[in-house]
Amino acid sequence: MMARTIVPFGPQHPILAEPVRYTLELEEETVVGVDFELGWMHRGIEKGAEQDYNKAIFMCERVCGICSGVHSMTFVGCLEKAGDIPVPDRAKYLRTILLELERIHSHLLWIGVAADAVGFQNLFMLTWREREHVVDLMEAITGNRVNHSYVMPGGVRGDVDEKMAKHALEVLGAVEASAKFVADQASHDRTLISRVKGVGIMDKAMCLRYGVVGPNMRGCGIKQDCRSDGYEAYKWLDFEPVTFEGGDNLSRVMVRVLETFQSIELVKKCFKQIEPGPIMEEFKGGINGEAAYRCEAPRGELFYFIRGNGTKVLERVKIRAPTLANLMVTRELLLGEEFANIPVTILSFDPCFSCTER
Amino acid sequence: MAAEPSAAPKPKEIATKTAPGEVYDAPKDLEEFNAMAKKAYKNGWRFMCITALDKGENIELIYHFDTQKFVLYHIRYTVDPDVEHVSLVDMFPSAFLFENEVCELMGVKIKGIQGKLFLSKDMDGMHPLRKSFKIEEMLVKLQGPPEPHTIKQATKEDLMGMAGKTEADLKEDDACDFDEEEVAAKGKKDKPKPQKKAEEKEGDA
Repeated sequence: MMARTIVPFGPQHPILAEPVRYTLELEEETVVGVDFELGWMHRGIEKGAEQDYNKAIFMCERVCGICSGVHSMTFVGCLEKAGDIPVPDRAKYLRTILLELERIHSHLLWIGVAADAVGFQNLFMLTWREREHVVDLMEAITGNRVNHSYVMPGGVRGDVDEKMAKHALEVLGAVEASAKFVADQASHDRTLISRVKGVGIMDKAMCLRYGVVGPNMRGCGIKQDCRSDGYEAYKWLDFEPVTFEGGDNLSRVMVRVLETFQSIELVKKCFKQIEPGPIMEEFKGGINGEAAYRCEAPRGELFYFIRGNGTKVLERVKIRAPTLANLMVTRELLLGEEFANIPVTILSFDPCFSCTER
Repeated sequence: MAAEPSAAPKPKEIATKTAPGEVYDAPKDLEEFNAMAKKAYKNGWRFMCITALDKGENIELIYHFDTQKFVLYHIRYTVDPDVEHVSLVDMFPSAFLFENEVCELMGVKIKGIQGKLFLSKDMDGMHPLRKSFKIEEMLVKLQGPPEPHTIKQATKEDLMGMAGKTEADLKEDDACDFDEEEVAAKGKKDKPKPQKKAEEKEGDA
């Protein structure tokens, strides 16, 4: 029997921005055993959110630092479903614009981080430069770069005038042009392709068995996206999910690249279709009811469940972030991989551990 | 933190709001629950997560499934926290993390699940999402009872220690500073002043 080596991966590792501990069992260079450990980031936000729902919105927004908008959106979606709160159409469009801008920024950020992990520093700098324009645009629309505090029960906090819409379209046009150039250059890079093609292959059955969500699922050719549910303004946008056959790291990269361009198109469509009108329906009072609601975060399906007892104080807030659903499959997926491919494969799932542990 | 709803007269019926097609199934016993979970497995529905609700003595578990047709399916089942519940890991491997979470944070017992995910080893036996959980009790268990706050009069030694001086320094300070006679003379000079002022005031009146 070959000697086995145990290699700890994390909690601090150069490619991981957040702590998680993988314990890898190796036979020479091949992984034969995988285990992971969580618990470095648990903040008890579910317990903290059992309070006045107006304050809980901001608490839920702080679950994640990258996709904060979609967290507040899903929580507010739950409140609106449970409390039968009407939302004006213009607010729905504005929310969709925020969600899609957030997806562009998150995917660009992830592509940069992944490029950094495979040693392609130039791509990292180029994508993060484009991401900065998108973040600035979000700041111009909502007033904040990261925690937007934009979505409220019954509408949104700020409107977009014609001048801003024109500016947004100009910025997005520029971002699209340079992102296309970067994608074109990167997709012809032999070194990059050799690091990701045919590595970390996940088949459809494995994907469904472990309940994988988001771009990782669509990278296996499964056409499923919560945006097809038609929440907010997606029902008016003729949305079609992007899929890519293969299930390897390359297809997970490609789904995110294609989604970035799709999101730019969706934002443009929103600005085209949006009509003047009110952006907020005033709502006051308690929430009596329970409801489940889900949205498509940049990393996959985000699920919230709330229960209100007629007062302003919520009885229970349940948050299920996409990474917690994506984590279990890595125990099987990493088996048989070469050790050098492990960082890229883990990163190809776009893990976010502060979301996972809440 | 969560403020307790003060003296609610009687809990109102809480309505469950659903989207078109969304179903909440409520099995009566364990057999029915197993049959429903099997149905979800056979239909190829994706397991999403488990929500646990604290209902006082009992705990209600809601199993969420995605039917892959833009519709959610839920099974709600009330369990006694002292009785071991069945695990769905055989059918849905992804349930492992969620069952661990429910065991750890809500204190449900599930067969074959240890309930170790987020919390540290010191917090064994504490379930923070329960309504009966108190942060003060947790702190006592982790750090021991809090020390009582007492106000102590500072002694001469304490003050000298703070100033970084010893007894010898203090004697030196006393020896060199002033002439006693001069101070006494100054005191005499100062004394008549208030008397004068008093006279002036009387004069004005």
